[in-house]
Amino acid sequence: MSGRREEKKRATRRRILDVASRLFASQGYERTSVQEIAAAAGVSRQTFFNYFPEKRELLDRLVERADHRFEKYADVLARTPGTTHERLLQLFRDFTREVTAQPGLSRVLLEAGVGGRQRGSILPRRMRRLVGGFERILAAGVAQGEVRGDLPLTALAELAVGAFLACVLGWAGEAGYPLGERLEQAARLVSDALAPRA
Amino acid sequence: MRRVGPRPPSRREEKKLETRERLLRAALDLFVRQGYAQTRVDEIARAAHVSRQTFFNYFPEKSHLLDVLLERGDAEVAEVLEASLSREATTEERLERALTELSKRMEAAPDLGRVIFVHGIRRTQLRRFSRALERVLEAGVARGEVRSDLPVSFLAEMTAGACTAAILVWVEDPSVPLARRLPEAAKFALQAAAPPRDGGDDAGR
Repeated sequence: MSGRREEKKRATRRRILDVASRLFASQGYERTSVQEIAAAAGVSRQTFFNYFPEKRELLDRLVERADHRFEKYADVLARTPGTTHERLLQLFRDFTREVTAQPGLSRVLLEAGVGGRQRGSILPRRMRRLVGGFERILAAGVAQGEVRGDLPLTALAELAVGAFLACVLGWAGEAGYPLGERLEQAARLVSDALAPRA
Repeated sequence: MRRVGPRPPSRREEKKLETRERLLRAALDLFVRQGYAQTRVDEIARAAHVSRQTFFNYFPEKSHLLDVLLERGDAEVAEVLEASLSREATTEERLERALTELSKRMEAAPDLGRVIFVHGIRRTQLRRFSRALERVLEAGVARGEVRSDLPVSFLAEMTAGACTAAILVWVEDPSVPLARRLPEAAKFALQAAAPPRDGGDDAGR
């Protein structure tokens, strides 16, 4: 198979995903039909189904994309100079900025994990990846001697994730929730608890 | 026909309750084995030996079954946490005892835990969990074991979040027993929720 053709296929795939992500963000996952996505991406319904046999596969891919980006981000952050508290603050601030910039899509991606009745089984895997990302950030702190080593890293990461989730779910559930402020509190609280015990 | 005192459920009512329970059990079994989305109303009805029409008399929608199952799980969690308040103990002891108990129940019926936490984790559920934790933490504020400079509701949400993360990680990888993971997660969350150590003037104690 020629490289040109492969490349074209990849471009079509990406276009469908980008369009879907835009439509999900503006009108929600449930209310977006395959028909609309295909039309907006300039492909036929049949072509659409060649790429994605089901609508939910689009969501799976978008979730996968977001989770993969988070893991890469966590790796970079773990290597960025600074304290663990500073890294957590930066993560939470970057996250707040991204969520506020595209609230619609953020909600859809969050629901994909949290509301997921139909799609439940991806949740533990997502959680594992999220905890894994935090573990890497905290491991850097252990190496710097500013994160306690008396508890398993996973337990520490779970608390950080728990605090993060509490804020994010609060935001998703309630209009006007001060996400940035709550996340800053969470970062402080978690950092305090992470400090080595005397 | 005579009726004296509080009326015992009639034969017919009893049968109705029985059928309802049978449907719930059949649904749980199928949700666990093949997933919520993959389970059709027809299958549940057949497994419970009722007609499709009868099914809909009890549960107008499939999702109602899941709602009832989830509510029962939540009520159980709240009950165990609430029970921890009846005895004199530190907040840490209370949480440890309650969460160890809940872990054991979940480990005894891992599939139920799976359904509840994999198919069901929703904002309302996390909120109910954190409300139940809030009661224990509030008692901890009074005991001077939980900080009062931040809203208890926030501390409870954070603890609920940490516990949920621990449960989900366990669902994905059950090699470390939940009865160890969950109390550990809560204990650590509680350390974060403890009054800040610096700035106290009786540090020498």
